[in-house]
Amino acid sequence: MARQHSASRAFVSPAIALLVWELLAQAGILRANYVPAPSQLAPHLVELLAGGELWRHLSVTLYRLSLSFLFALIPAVLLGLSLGMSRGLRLALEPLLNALYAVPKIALLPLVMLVLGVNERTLIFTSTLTSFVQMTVSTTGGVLAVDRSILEAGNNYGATGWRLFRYVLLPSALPDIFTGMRIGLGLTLVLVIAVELTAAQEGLGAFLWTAGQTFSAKNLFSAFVVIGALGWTLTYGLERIGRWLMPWQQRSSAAMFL
Amino acid sequence: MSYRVLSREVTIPLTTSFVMLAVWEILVHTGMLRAAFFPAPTNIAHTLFSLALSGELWLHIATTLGRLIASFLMAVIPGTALGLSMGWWLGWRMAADPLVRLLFPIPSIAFFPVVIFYLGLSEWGLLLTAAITPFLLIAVQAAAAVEAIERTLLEAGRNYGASGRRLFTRVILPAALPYLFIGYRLALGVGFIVTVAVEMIAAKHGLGGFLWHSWQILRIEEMYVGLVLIGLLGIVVTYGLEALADRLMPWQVDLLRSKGQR
Amino acid sequence: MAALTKIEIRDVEHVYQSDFATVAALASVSLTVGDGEFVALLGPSGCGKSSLLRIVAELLRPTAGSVQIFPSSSLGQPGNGRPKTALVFQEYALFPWRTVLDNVAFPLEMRGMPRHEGLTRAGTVLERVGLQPFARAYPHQLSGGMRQRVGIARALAAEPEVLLMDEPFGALDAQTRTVLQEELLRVWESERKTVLYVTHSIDEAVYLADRIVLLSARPGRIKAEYLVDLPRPRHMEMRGWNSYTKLSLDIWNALRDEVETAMVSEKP
Repeated sequence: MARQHSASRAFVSPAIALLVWELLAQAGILRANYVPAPSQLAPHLVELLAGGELWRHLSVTLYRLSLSFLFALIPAVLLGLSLGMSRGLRLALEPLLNALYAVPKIALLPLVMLVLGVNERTLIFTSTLTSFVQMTVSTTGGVLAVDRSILEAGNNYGATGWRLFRYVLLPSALPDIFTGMRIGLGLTLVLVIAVELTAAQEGLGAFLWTAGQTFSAKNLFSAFVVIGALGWTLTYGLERIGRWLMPWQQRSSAAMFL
Repeated sequence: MSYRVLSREVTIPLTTSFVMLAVWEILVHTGMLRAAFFPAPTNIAHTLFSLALSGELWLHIATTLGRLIASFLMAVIPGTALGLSMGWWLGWRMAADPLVRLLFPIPSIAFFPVVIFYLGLSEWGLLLTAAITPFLLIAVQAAAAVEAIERTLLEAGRNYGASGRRLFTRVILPAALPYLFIGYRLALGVGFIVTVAVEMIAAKHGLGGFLWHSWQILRIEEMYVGLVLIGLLGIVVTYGLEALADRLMPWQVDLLRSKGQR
Repeated sequence: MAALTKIEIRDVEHVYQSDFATVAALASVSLTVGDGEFVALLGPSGCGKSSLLRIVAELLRPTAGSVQIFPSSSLGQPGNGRPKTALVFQEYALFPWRTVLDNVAFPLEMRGMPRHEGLTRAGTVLERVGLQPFARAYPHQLSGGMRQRVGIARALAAEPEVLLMDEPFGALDAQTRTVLQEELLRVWESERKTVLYVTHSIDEAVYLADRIVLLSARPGRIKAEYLVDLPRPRHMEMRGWNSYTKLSLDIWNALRDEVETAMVSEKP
């Protein structure tokens, strides 16, 4: 019962903030061409969406994001599982993987552009790499974190070899693998938008940057809201999916998005 | 402890890295790898040294490091304060929590064009952009940290005479520290990514700017130098804070493991 | 044995809200504990004995009823800064960021005692539980048994009017438990503090206590009381005595129904 209360209260302070914003704008304290009022922004946003331009940019960004993610997903999980299960493989590859993990992938962009050219391929490659490194590291961690005694129990009760893997190891490691996907998507989105900001014609980042350059506050905010919405959908949507996929996971509040 | 340094954990990665570098060197010299794209490691090292000697390198390193530290401090202090308040007082939580949760999933780099729209292309703009998402991350983690503190520690604190502010400084704060550090590590990581990204987009000085600029004028060896330094800084950022945390709070390893964090 | 009343628990009730329902943990408990008496609270899980202890510790407020603790006048001024209670926790509840010595000194620090004096006193108490060599160690470096000795030391250092213990040896293995029970009695003998001791082990209750109060399953109320007629100081052989065995069996028979009730109605 306490939960229901907090759900509706979740909108109070943003609503108040919006209201204050609107009032300040109406009162003229906020200059209209600098900080447009929410009442101005909303129709403008709707207009942009209806006109199709914003959809186009959104779909371009989404396309880049999903493509990179999908390319990276299976190889990353496979590699992560292998690394988790084989000490030898881990010792051999971990230095390279950890080094890549520590480098912001955007710093690799110039190198990739050198080799592959300044084109869409480069962007997809770098984003894929971002997802790939993150998901591999998380998957490896997930496998390594599986409780020894759970494996022993599984073994003892008849699950061996492939079945131990499928019915015991994999579900145990799943939460971490899933977290890796969430973080991976988040980082990849940041990368894609960062690249779009200066080096692309299309995509939400490009639209956002242009809006700033052409001094259109309304476009700026609209783009920002759409990017934000994309971020929310990813974060909270995935959280939901995670809870549905893995109902046994306790809501470890201290590891909200870890 | 000092014998451990030469353990398998260290020698094998070092050996493989060395071997890979040697292979790279050979491939370049035999012409199998295009030197224009992949200059020999020895050349890169040479460029690194000459840049270090000329002083240019230190300027860039110091600039990026300075930005990283500054934006981190800008995020840590308000973030921890806000997060702890949110964790402890229901009023704060109801007011701030929705706003925080609204803002933190937004890709950090997206703040940049908005920030410079108002502040212009300035150092403050850069710092602010690099501080926003970390600030939000830390606040969320700090709030969760308060919840994660074991009930019995609070009870012991109260039972043995601590209350109000003293309960906060002597019990809550130290007990929350391991969890706070999880947030700090994440925040530092994000802050680093954003700093480098913004430097590449818009800065002249700093490792990101150096990297981008080198590429633009096609000084490939310098580009690699930039990349290596960013990588090293990244390693320090990713693993350094973790090591610091382990030293400051040796008990946390057990604590966090029991809560399933590691 | 005890002429003066130390603790008076009157008609205490405790009701709380959980996610699923309103739970009555305690239903009208009244109990008097004499000065220097060692009373064990025994009962099935969920019977509210831990809640009762926390109510006495003023960590929890009863929904009805009251608890009074009468300060001892034998130490000069009554209530001279001495806390009413000190709680020893099943999970030890030591502050991991403080050394053993600092943990024991904590209550004294909170009382405003100058650091030097507090540390000296803490050191003395540590010696009583035999942990002086570990004064500079951190809790995570100690075994469970040692940690609990620190917990006990901390409680003693606080110089409370009443010592409260919440299944202090519950997290330990049986052997360590036995050793610590002996330790506890040894340390307790010298001061004869008033103790309220929560346990679910009949053997522990009979071995340690002067009086055993049996609580029913939830909502907990006092089902029976037993006087432990064994002489002090207690020693291991008593566990083989007929009177010991008979008492244990009597209590078990009374307790068994409650345990089964509790198991059936087990709710989170």
